Amino acid sequence: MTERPDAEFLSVRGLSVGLAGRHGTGRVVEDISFGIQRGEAFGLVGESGSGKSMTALAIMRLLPRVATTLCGEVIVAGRNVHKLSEDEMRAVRGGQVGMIFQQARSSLNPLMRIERQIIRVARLHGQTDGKARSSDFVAHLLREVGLPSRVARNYPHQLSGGMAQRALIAIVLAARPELLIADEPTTGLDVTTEAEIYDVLRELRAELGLTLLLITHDLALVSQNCDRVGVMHAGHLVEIGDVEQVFERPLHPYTQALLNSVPTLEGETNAALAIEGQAPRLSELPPHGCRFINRCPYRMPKCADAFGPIDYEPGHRVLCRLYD
Amino acid sequence: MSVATDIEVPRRLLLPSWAKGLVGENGLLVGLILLGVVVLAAIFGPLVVRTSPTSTAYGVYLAPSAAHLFGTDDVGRDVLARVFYAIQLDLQLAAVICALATVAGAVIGLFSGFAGGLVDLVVMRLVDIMMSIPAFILALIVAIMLGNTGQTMVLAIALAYTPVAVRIVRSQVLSLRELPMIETSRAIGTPASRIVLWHVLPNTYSVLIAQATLFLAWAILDTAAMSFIGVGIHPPTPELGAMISEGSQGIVSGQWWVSIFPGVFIAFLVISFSLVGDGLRDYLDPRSRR
Repeated sequence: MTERPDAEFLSVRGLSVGLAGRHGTGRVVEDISFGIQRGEAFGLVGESGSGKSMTALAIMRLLPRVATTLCGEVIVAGRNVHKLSEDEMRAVRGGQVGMIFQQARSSLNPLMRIERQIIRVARLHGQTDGKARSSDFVAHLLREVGLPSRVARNYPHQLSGGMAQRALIAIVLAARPELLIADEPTTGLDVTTEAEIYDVLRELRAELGLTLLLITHDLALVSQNCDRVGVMHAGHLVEIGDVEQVFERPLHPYTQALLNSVPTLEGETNAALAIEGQAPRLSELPPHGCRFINRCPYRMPKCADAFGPIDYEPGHRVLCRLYD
Repeated sequence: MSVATDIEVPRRLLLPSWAKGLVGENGLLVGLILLGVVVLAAIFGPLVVRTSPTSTAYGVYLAPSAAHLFGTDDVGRDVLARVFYAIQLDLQLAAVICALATVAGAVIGLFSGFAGGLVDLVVMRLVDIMMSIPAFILALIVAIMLGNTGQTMVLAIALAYTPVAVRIVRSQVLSLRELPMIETSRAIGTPASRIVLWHVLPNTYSVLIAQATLFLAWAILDTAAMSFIGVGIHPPTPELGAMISEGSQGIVSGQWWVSIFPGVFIAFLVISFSLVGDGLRDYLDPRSRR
């Protein structure tokens, strides 16, 4: 399949993921669609259990055994991921889509020097050969993530949390992926280190044209680092749009509540508003209709019926009956 | 690795706390020095003390003297010369037993831990059954059933130790495969076979090597114990346990040296291997290598 130059690098169409539980299968990701252009930074936000990470794992075809992709397709660089063989998929993992997780240190092999982990990945994806060039290659990669070249000779336990995350990014970049999925990459790091990691990611995007899918619960990080944002709630992609659109004109009551829950300096009161109630349990998800219905101040009878996303303005789409 | 520390190592033959207190933090060093002395003595001793281990020409039951440091036995053979050869033989037997049990345990444990499900269930129940029989008794029965030779004894003892290694490797695999490291590695396109070879197996080495050293200690003791009761290595081949057995009649009539000296060396070997095994377990923990 040839790829049109203006096409999205990653395109998710109607993806649903089922999670087998004690009370049958729950749809933890339900009919979500979004696309990421080359070079774009896309933020996927939502609270714990909203299906952000499951979406990422479904893109990589790395879902745990209890979860399965029920329907929908994932297109990476023009190819449907679910139609690839396991061998072809391995080339996509790492080679086209890299992924970093929180807890960078435990993502590294404690017995291998950073250098060796970088070279192993590079060899796996045919990015380096020959002993002479490999040390240059390692030093170059470490420089890209802002680490001194001596780190090459270090073991993971000798690195700080921030350095470990940078080292992990260097290892993932050794395969020269075009899209980087960062799943809560700075959870557990202090704010200064967090800011440094995002500086690195921003530089990498500028220098390498890296496409970024950032998964986080932190709205501020999305507004600072992303071009577009998708808001997830209980497996639904409730709102998607440019960062300016969503942050200035939040449409979905959940997005509005999320933004209200962030304390601001200008606000009249100091109180950050909590969203009432809890996200529905897996076993209690309604079969169709809005999943925010029990917590929504604007709920209407028709919200319980099945409905699809509504285009509010170009690029800004919402899953809410207020905008019918 | 935190996963390395929560493994239950069978307490059999670990040193009592007072003995550990005696050597303190230097257990590994003390063990290695003790071991080095015994092994070097066994290898180079015959070059220095040029008495024959097989000649019966020295006179019966001679007490230890300058000519025969450990005395002579009931048929007039030099005990020291026989001890040298016995240590060499026992070390070789222990090494083979240890290698067989460790490799078999690692392979089965890796397989069982990764396969999971029914395979894992069956393997682990077999391990439970085998471990419910004391290793020595199990090895004894199997060795006799297979024909009571040196080879069958080695196989039988290795078989009896294998479940211990299987259990250790499997429990390591179970905790290792849940680490973010494995998911990260999959997400970067590493084939499953490489993940096992690069990330899982090497991370079991620290516990496995420590256990292998303890296998050596157990093997010395069990080989000697079997030969003592007439299974495996038979007289006149010099073997420490067989020598104790041969000299045991002499103890009551005052010829203590024929049994005591081989016994002392069994103790030396077992203690030094235990010290090394215990010490290695701490030393190989990657966190202690800062």
